[in-house]
Amino acid sequence: MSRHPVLDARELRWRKKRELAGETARQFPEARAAFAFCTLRMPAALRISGKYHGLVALFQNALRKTLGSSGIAILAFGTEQYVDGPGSWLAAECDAMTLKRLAVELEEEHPQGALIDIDVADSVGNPLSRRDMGYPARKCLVCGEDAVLCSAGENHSLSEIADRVERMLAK
Amino acid sequence: MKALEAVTAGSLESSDVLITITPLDGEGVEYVIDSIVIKQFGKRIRQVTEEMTRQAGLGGARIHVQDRGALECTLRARLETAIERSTAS
Repeated sequence: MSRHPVLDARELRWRKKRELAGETARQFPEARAAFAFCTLRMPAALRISGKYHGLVALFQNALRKTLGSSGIAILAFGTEQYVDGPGSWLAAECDAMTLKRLAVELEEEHPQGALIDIDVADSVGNPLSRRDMGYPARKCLVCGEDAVLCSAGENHSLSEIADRVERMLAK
Repeated sequence: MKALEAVTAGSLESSDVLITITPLDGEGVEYVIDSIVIKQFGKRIRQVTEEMTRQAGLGGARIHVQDRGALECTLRARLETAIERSTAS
């Protein structure tokens, strides 16, 4: 057993993104592909609780529906179970900026969008950040401040976050 | 102890950090620190990176830290892994 199973899972997903990009390029040499990866946006203790697995599937479906209505083909998709929680991915035939825009819209506009992270990577697996695209940073679930500062500063307790997650799902 | 090969540890996921170590000629260490919270935590990230590199006795390396808001314990674990990987023969 590793000393850092959650960190190992992140690294595994990171490698998977690169591998997936290579695999898709081989399978669809003519396609311009971009990738989306959905994971739960909450602390690991909540991600592995099993209570919120359905959200990943829900957002995978929502993203597929959005892509479909934008006339964008989905080349491949799948779900994964990591030691730090569930994940799903899809490869879409579009440029990464288009996919990122659609992903950010879902994160911002869906009633439970704040509970999901949709990471987008380009055809070689390089991630696109909100900052790269000029979008505002994500807000903290609990206090609405810049989420990365609350997370890096460990500003909120697990129970505080868990309460907030439950309240968002009850909406 | 010199860096023998180019390695990475970590990821660019939210709340993580990607450490890239590449060998350099000589004994010196070059640090490049990028962080989305550079204003708030940049100084501490550099301090931890330099301290761990020194403690490991690593030389002849360029260490690139790409931080996505990692906790200090995450940064330390990633640095430890990257240094281990870069010096493993």
